[in-house]
Amino acid sequence: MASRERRSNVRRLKADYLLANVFEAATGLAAAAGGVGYFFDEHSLLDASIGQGLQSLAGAWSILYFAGGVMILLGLVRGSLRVELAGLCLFLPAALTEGATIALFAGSKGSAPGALFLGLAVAAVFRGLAVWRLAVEYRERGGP
Amino acid sequence: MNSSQTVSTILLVLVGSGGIGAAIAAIVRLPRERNSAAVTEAQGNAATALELLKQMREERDEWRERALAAERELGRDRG
Repeated sequence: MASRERRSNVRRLKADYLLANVFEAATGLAAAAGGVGYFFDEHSLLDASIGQGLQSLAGAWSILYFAGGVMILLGLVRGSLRVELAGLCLFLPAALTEGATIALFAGSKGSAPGALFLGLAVAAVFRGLAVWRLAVEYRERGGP
Repeated sequence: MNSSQTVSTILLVLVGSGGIGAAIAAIVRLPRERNSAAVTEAQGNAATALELLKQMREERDEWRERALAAERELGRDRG
């Protein structure tokens, strides 16, 4: 009875954490979905700025983008700070490169998506610092 | 390769390798999954304890009301 209640409380806490960070989860999901396209069709990025800018390295960018997104999602679902932080560390260079490449290749037409990706990269830095501080605090105190 | 492609490539290589290094450091240096699970379980236990405490308080209030009602009835009978 008590064990069932405890399990249900653990599930509720994990769901609360995921809901509190739903915007980050949506970003992770979008990154995972955006990155996986390359593995199904390697020419899918040819017309995009990122494909024109990185050419043969577009595959490496896709791996970073996909792995970052999946790890962010996994970290949020499992309530694991270190996996979430690792995901943010992989997502950040992918978003930064995409933002800069769009800004360089698409010119004024790409200002909105370029700014969006650069904004996401800045958000990943701040969120990463917050997660890092929290994880270090937990490690020192042995719990929340 | 034009200058924009060079900038994009350098950016990906530099920031990407830094990001991979930071991700590996995060996985290695931060507490393992078991610890995170233990923390979540401890939070779950605390939440369970709080719920039990709430139930006990409700029961205590109920018994207090019953005792007061019994005392009032006793007083009326004596009067």
